[in-house]
Order: sequence, then C-alpha cells, then structure tokens
Amino acid sequence: MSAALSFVLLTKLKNQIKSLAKSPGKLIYAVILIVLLGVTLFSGGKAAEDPERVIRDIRELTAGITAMYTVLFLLVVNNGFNQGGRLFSLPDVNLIFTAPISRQRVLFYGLFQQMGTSLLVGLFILFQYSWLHNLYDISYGVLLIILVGYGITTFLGQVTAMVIYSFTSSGDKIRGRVKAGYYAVIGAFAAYVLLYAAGDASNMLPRLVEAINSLAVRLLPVAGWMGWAVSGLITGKLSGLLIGLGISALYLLLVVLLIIYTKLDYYEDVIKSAELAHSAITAQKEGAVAEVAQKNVRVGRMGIGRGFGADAIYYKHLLENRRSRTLVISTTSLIWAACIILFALFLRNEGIAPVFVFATYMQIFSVALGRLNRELTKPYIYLIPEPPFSKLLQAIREMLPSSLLEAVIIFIPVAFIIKLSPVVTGLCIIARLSFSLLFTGGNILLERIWSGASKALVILMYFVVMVLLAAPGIALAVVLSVTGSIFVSEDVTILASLIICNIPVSLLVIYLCRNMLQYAELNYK
Amino acid sequence: MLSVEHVTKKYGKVVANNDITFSIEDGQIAVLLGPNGAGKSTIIKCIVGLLRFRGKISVDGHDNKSIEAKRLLGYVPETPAVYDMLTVEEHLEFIRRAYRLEEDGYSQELLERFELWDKKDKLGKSLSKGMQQKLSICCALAHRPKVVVMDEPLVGLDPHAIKELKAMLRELKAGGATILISTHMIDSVEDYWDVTHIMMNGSFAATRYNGSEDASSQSLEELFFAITEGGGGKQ
Repeated sequence: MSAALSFVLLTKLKNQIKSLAKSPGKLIYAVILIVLLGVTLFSGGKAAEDPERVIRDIRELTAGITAMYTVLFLLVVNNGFNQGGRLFSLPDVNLIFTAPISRQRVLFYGLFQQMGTSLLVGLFILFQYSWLHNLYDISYGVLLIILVGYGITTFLGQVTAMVIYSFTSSGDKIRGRVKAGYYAVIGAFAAYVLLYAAGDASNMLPRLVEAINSLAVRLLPVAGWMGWAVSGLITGKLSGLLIGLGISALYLLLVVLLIIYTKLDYYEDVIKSAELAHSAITAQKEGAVAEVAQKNVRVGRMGIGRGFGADAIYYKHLLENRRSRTLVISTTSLIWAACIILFALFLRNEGIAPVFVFATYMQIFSVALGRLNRELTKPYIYLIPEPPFSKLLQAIREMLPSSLLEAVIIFIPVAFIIKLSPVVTGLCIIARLSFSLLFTGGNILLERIWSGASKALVILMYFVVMVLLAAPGIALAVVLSVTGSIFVSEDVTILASLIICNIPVSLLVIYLCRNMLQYAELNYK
Repeated sequence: MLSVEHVTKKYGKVVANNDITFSIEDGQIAVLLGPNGAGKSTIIKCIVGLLRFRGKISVDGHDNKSIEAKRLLGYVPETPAVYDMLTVEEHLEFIRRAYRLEEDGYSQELLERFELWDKKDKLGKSLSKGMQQKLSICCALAHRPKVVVMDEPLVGLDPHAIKELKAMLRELKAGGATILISTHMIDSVEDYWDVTHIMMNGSFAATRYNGSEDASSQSLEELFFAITEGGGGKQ
C-alpha cells in the first residue's frame, strides 16, 4: 500500500481515538460499552454455576452460526445488484481515486479498510456471551472466533457485491440474468433445508439443525465455507476449519485476480454506493432516519387525500408507509418478527419469559425507526400552525395499528410454539403494545430534553431512559412474584403488572411532553 | 412585522447569538450577511421557532412560537427539506391541508413559476438538489406568509429560478410582506435590499439602510469586506 494510503488509514484511526478524549459523550458511551461487556462476562459465568443448568447440543449453535453468516452474506451481496460494495467512502472517491495512485493499491486500501469496519460492525456478537455460554457452554475465545468469522463473511460479501455490480451494471438484462441465477441457487439451498426439516414433522428442529450442518449447505459460497471453518474450530474438527478457510482464501484470491487482470474499472461502480453511504451518514449526523433504501418506488395512487390541520400529518404518514412498501408493518419489522419466532423455536421449553424479554429488547430499536423520529428532522411539524399536543398525537398515531399487527404476527406463532394459553397470548400482545407506547414516550422525552445534545450522548441516554420508564412495571412484577402474590399464573401476573404500569407511565410522559413541538430544538444544527 | 429583542442563543458554552436586537417593518427586505459560523442560521432558526433561546421574538405582535405566528411565517431552510416518499404536488397538498387552506390554484402557480409543474408527479427523493431547493421555496410560500424567512435560498438554483425568486421577493415586498434573507451571494441582493445586517461572531457588526449616505458611498460587497476583513467593530 502506498505511503499516502497508509497515512490516511492510520491518521483516521488515530483521530477517532483522540476524538474519544475530546468528546465526553463518546467517552462515556465507550466506557459503558466496556462495563456492559464486563457485566455480560460476569453474569454468564454466574449463570453457569447453576447446578440445574442443561447444556444444549452444540450443533444447534454451529447451525445458528451458519444461518447467521448466510443471512448476512445474502443481504450484503443482494445490495451488490443495486449499489455495489461499500468499500469506499465519498472522500475516498473524491481524493484518492483522483490521486496518482494505482488502482490495485487503491483496491487493497479499500479491502483493508473494509476488514476493520466488518469487525467493528460485528462487535454486538461479544455481548451475546452470557446466554450463549449458559446454553452451549462456550468460552469467550469461541465468541471471538464467531466474530472473526462474521467479519470475514461481511468482508467477502462486500468484495463479491463489488464484483457483481461491476460485471452487471452495464445493462438491466445481464443484471436480471445474474440475479435470477443467484436467486435460483439460494432457492435450491433453501428448498433443500426446508424439505429436509419438514421430512419429519415431530422432529423439525433437530432436522433443521442437521440440514444446516450438512455438507450440502457447507458448499454454499462464503457463508457455508465460513460456517464450516468456524464450526470446525468449535467442535475440534480441524479438517472443517482448514477446508472452510482454504476455500474462502482461494475465493478471495480469485476475485482479486479477476479484478486486477480483467482491468475492471471499478471506480465508476463504487461511486454510487459511496454517494448513498455518504448521504446516509450525513442524514444520520443531522439526526435524520433514512427512508428504507429502495431503488424503484411504486408511486401508485396520487395525493394525501384526507386530513385537515394536524391530522394531515397522520395521513401523510400513511401515504409514506404505502410508498415504502410497509402497508401496515415494515419489512424490517417482519424480519425482526421472524427472528423472535426463530428464537422461540430454539427456546420453546423455557417458557414465554426469555422470548418476551428478547422481543422487547428488539422493540427498543424498532420503535426508534418509526415515522415520529423521521418527522422531527424536518421543519414542517414545528412550523404547522396547530396545537403542539395535537401535532404530537397525530405524529405517533400511525404507530398504534402497526404495533398491534406486529404483536399479533409475533405472538400467535409463538403461542403455538411455546403452547401458551389464549389469556397469556392476549396479554403478551397487549403488553407489547404497552411497550410500544412506552418506548414512543421515551423517544418523545429524549427529544424534549436532549434533542440538542451530541448523538453519542443521545444514544446513551436512549437506553437509560427506556430502562427507567420500564422500571415501574418490572419492579411491580418482581415484587408480586417474590412475595408470592400470584394472580391466575406467574405469566399472567408478570404481564399484567407490565401493562398496568407501562400504559399510565407512557401516557403521563406523552402528556408532560405535550408542548415538545413548541419548545423543542430541531434535531440538527 | 418581525421584532427580535435581546436574543441570545448558546450551544453549551458556545455563544452562537449574543444579545441580538433588530426589527423589520412590513414591506421591507432585510438581509443578513456574514462569514461562515457568524450565527446567521442560528438566529433564523430562533426566529422561526426551531430553537430555544433567551430573549423575545414576535411576529406581527404574536410570540414567535404561538400558533398565530406560525400561521404568518414562511421558512426556507438552509438545506432543502423534502419528504422522500411524497411527490412534488403532494408536498404542496400537505402544506395546504396542514395549514387548513382550500385549493385555489396558487400551488400550481408556484410550481409553474419555478418550473416544477412538469415534475409534479416525481418523488422528493428523485429530485436534484436544485429542484429540492425550488420545492422548499414553494412549500414556504404556499400559504401566502406575511413574514418570509429564507436561509441561503439561492444556493443550487438555476438562473431562471434565481430570476423568478427575485421577482417573487419584489412582489411579496410590494404586497407588504416582511422578508429576511440570509445569504453569502452579496451581489444577488444588491438591487432590492432595504436594510442589511452584517454578523460577526454571533453579533451584529454593522447595520446599513439602503439610500442612506454611508450606504451610497460603498457597495454592500465593499462594506462586507471592510467589516469582516478590516477588523471593523460595531458600526
């Protein structure tokens, strides 16, 4: 790599570390992340001391890892058809592409940079130690290996995306053919796994695990190979590790040679993704939540059609949702719902508690993606001459039906998997709805109090506020459980406690912040 | 009429606006000039009610955060504010509905003047930056505001749109509207300004009235450089 490129990489890294010291918000955030990591390690160790702990089959974990790598790889590569790989940023395009540095060197710079980003993105894996250690008795070293596998899969996915885009961007026809071939291969693998699992209805989960761990799935490009390598390391099968890593290394070599020797003019092909990434980063800096990236939006029926005054905001949201292909519920919500249902499938003997906790944890993020937060980044909602409380209510109105449907989509299948009673299922749905309201209240509270603060501080406060708002319900549930004041059943008591506290707390917060749109600061400077 | 009295705005310890006082009469065009970081956008955001501040701002006698004031205000932000998933025409429909206005053809007239009518079915996300800016201007004017506040409205506009915007400003002025424009393009406002405030470090460094003796002897550009580069203090 040229001296200039090394200089850029090292200086960026150095300045990022230095910025931690200059920005107390970021520093606190980093410290809290480290503390949380420590707590996860400690709590995992504590839970493992439980003499009644049942260690689950490690093949479930290796299948889960392969499945995770597969989803990740498919998502990244799928992106390649539309935008190409995200190896370069816009400053790279403007400053490095135009500099007298060879394309090969620039490519290696991009690959090197991407490797670091891929590992950083996968850091969330390290926070899964507690439950993974408890269920599968894995060490922290194994978790690090899973993280490295995640990083390599993302990295190879980005390179693949770039090559696919470079070779197919010349025309819709060729792109369509490659895309069809790609989906046919994926479809064949998916069909194999599903048909195999469905072969014995009474043993679906073990057969699903068996299918994903089979040699056929191991042959799936990159995700299968990396799953093979990581599984080999976890289960002590050196051959798997060597074959998986070997094929992946060979693949990388081939792809790089392909780029170099076909003299692929990749500069033009990465510009689009660099521009998109740049606008997403800029939007994020300005506090905006980007609309789901869609190349072709079906405009459909024209006009907002309804609403006068503040409720025009609600009808505008409905129109925007329709255009974003989120009729009532978004694609992201559907993916998360699928994750929760899969989680329930694995923990079907553990009762509703872990599934509900997991679902609620995911909900914290999904609520933040709602229309309210997007609306607050535009000036119109502040400028509209309507009472602020009325504007606020109309801005969160679209959240209620989508939250209800989301809860139904999640908890009806979960009820069948865990064999919940209709009462508990109904309470799960209402409790999730109450959390939607609570987290929306939390979002409003954050905007009311910390809208002008730094992003790092806002993210940090986001979790603190959500935990504080949920605390009364959790406290009531714990007190009733500990004192033995059980009504109908423990599940009913806990869920009812959450509902009883969450709804008034959220309504109170929303009411107290009723003038937010009159006095809050627009969320960008 | 727009009145700003002793407005101070701080971001943490940084003072973005320091005790600013000025007013703009009906039918007057006021211009805010100043180098980057002088605090022009901040005072504009305070005026349109997007930021908290210390002091008092009133729009035609109404507190600037009141519903009455909002009804009278039109604002063009420094970066175009358009919704990705709404078409050009739907933006205007949204403003009409939100401001409780009946359709009277004015939205179409605005879109035609800014050459956006043939793009009326295009989504906000598919517009170029310049077209987004034109749309932002149309949205700000769609409810016929009495007080118009524009933050760098000319950035990204093509020559036709610049000409049209200047004509629009003259019409608004003739109709008695109060107009405040922040800009770096000094020559673009030379021919129609009434009062100019030059900002430095969060305060007004100079104020000039068009037609006054000192304004006649110096162009706005000369005055600007004399103040910002010549170490000119409060004048």
